[in-house]
Amino acid sequence: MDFGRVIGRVVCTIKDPKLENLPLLILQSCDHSGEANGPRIIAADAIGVGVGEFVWYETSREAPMAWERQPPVDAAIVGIVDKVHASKS
Amino acid sequence: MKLARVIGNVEATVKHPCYLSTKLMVVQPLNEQLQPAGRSHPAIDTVGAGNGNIVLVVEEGKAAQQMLGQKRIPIRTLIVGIVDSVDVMAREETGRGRVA
Repeated sequence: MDFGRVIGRVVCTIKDPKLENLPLLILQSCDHSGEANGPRIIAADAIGVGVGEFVWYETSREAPMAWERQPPVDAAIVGIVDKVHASKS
Repeated sequence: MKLARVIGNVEATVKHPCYLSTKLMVVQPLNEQLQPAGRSHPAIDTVGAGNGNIVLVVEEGKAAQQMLGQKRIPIRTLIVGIVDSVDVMAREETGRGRVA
């Protein structure tokens, strides 16, 4: 599980049928303070987020499980962060 | 499994239904010397860990499904234990021994 900032969108016309109606977003991985210090990845959106939002996502085998139809994705956005209450690490 | 320190928690209204009754914490991964190692990330708490606790974090889906008693959930990062102490063999080059 990681934090990420949505920085863009990807549009595909030709794709696997299970990817139909699945928004694909570009994510910049961040730490809890929103500082970008990880890779940029493409993630499928399971909850309806917009560009610029601070989210968390799950990767690997568990990413398709965000949907009933189990689309072929390796990262799924599963929540929007309203606020992080954190002490200094 | 890895060591991490709980450094906070996440407030969220819009989330996948699987996360509705979970407690989402922020953890900072640590090395065996208990120094920060890597990027902080969210993790679901199943043991009642509090801010500042050193915890054991699993990153594996099957373990998460067993702990939460649900199948086919998009969750793979869980806090499964609160660490009491860590003992590491002394390293000759640093001369540092026991870290507790």
